[in-house]
Amino acid sequence: MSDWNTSGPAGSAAGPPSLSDSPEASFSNEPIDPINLPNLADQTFENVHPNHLKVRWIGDFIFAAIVVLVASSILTMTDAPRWIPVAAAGVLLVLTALAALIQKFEVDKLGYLVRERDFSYRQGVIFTSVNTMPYARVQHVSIDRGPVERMFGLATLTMKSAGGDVVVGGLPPDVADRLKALVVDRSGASADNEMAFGDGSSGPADELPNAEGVGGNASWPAPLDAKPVVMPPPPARPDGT
Amino acid sequence: MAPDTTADRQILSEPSRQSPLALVFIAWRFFRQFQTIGIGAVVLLFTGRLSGPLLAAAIALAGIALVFSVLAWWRYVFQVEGDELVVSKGLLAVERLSIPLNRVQSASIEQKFLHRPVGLVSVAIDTAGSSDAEFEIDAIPRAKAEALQRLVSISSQASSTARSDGGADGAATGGSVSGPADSPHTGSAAEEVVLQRTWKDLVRIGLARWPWAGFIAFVPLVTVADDLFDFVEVDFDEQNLPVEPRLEPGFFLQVAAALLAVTALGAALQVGRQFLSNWNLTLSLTGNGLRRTAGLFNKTSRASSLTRIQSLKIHQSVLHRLFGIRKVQLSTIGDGDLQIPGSRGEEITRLRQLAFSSSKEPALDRPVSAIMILREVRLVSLLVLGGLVGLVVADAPRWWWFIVLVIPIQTAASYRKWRKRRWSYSPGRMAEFQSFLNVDSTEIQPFKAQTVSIEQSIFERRRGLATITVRLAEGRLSIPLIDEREACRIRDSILYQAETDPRAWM
Repeated sequence: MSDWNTSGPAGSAAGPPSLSDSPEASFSNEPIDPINLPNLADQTFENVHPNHLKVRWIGDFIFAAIVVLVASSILTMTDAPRWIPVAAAGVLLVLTALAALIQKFEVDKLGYLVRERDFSYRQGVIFTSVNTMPYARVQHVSIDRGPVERMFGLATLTMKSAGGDVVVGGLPPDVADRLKALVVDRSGASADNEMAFGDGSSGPADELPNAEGVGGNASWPAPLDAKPVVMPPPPARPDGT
Repeated sequence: MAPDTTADRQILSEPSRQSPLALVFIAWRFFRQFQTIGIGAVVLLFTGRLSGPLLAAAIALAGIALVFSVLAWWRYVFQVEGDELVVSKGLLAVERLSIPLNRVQSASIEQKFLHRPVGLVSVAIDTAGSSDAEFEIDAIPRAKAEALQRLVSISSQASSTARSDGGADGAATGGSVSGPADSPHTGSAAEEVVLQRTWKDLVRIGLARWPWAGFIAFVPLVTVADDLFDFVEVDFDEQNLPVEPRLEPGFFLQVAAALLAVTALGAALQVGRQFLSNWNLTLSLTGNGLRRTAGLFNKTSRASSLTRIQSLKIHQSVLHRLFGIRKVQLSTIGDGDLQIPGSRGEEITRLRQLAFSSSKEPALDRPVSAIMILREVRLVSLLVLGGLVGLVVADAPRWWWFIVLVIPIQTAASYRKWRKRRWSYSPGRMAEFQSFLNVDSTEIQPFKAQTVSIEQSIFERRRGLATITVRLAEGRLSIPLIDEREACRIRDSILYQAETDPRAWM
């Protein structure tokens, strides 16, 4: 990959240039080879936790139960022939089984990919999609844990941008926490970067937040590399988990 | 040197309410929520059918509206505290909004018809991240509105000097302010008029709109047509209405004349509408961005910084083509899309230059896969076949066989729709073009992408095709049925732009 990074290669022993360096010295503008841009399609996505399937099945079950409750209360109020509730129950059973089967394939397909500068989420069986959000565009990150998710030790991470959200369910809480910390760190850093330099250059790296917590030896701005990043350790949780 | 804002802050430091004139606007907004019921109620009232419990309910509703409006006006208090605009409002639960002045994207001043005699204005405050104006102050003295506008302008300029604007976009950054065209603007550079619409342009724009569309406004009246006819004493003799019209030449002439008259009336209404809403439409380049002012009685003013422009859309209907004009829409974040009807080639080039810092037209030379034609024709053919079988079984009249004509019509329509679809991608510009009866195109700058996704239906997956969708802070651009590998390459390139381009996306 072309070295467009202004602060030297990642993990460089010499470290980033100091503030006293002249802007000209730290500025480079090497041509980029569009053929060699990092290829997202070549990456392996992380699967969500298998328990996520159970969470979805319980959701389906609750929905089916509500349908049964409503339908049976309507049918008891009318003089419908006896075969109608039996047939309706049969159809509902088949539909629920079908939905459960599709959920199985869907959860097997769900996956996320954390790169140094963006987050991708893959979903869908019949209609598939891979949605990617650069950290620089993240406006808000949150973690939700519903009662069923808590029962199975899972959490949902939501990343919001000004144009679309990415919602990842079925994450172990510590992974969700680390992802949240990573996204907050990276998006904040990007915003600082934008604010700091009005001349189009990325500026001296040591004025920007130290990214040691993110990759251990990563410099900032990190090179646009395809390799997945090492997530920071989880912050201490109040409930001790 | 930072401008002195002490006087402006002094004006806004005390908590203040809106002028009581705001009651009219608040009540009108309340009434608008029940528009159809309201029109029905007024008609019923005049026809004398509004009586008993209905009348009581209407009076109660009007009373509630009045109490609601007075309370809403009383509880709405605003002031500037330090560097924040503080607004408290709400009827039961009090909501207190504190908005840092440098986060305000635009403060648009509008002087409506009712405002004019009393010298008041309304101010719409728009902040980042909201799809609508955060709130509107309905009626305040012009001096206060302009003080607020100046504070917003100075704060946003101070914050935008720290923000990257990529050099070429330097004409405008950060927030923007706007006001009535005749108001003095302090704190902003001299305005340059980009384009202006004369009355002849407005006639052209009005005539290029579908004349019958103007009658849509009267649709709610259909619900009360019966009462309306009673009211204007039109008496249909329902017993003696002719069962079948007599098909004489005179009858056809009458129908043609009636259609012509309705069309002429519709066209006149459309031209009138243009005169009302777009009178003296002016797009000007200010120190803070673009400002669009227009209106005959209600003067509206919309403004946006150039960096907040997310896409440029061009629309040309069949009638537009007759007059050689197009409608341009500059989509901006929040409440304030800039609509420029009646644009011509050189104006569009200028707008493109302003929005994208480059007047170069996108190539729009790549087709999408034509496989969709086959799919649509196949689907329609199957439906027609099913219909024919149904007709044979039901022993329907012979002329129903004409439904087979749907197949060649659909084939021609699908062919035109998919064969004419074009797109192009370069790191500086992504664009798509559709042409069926109307011609529509959308252009965006890839670096402003918020999310990028590659989507595939089973149909696309089996043929190695995909849809790429780029979502922006306002709107999106989607190109279906392109080669899957190419879609992935474009996605990688867009991500590269979004992740490395130091220019501000808003």
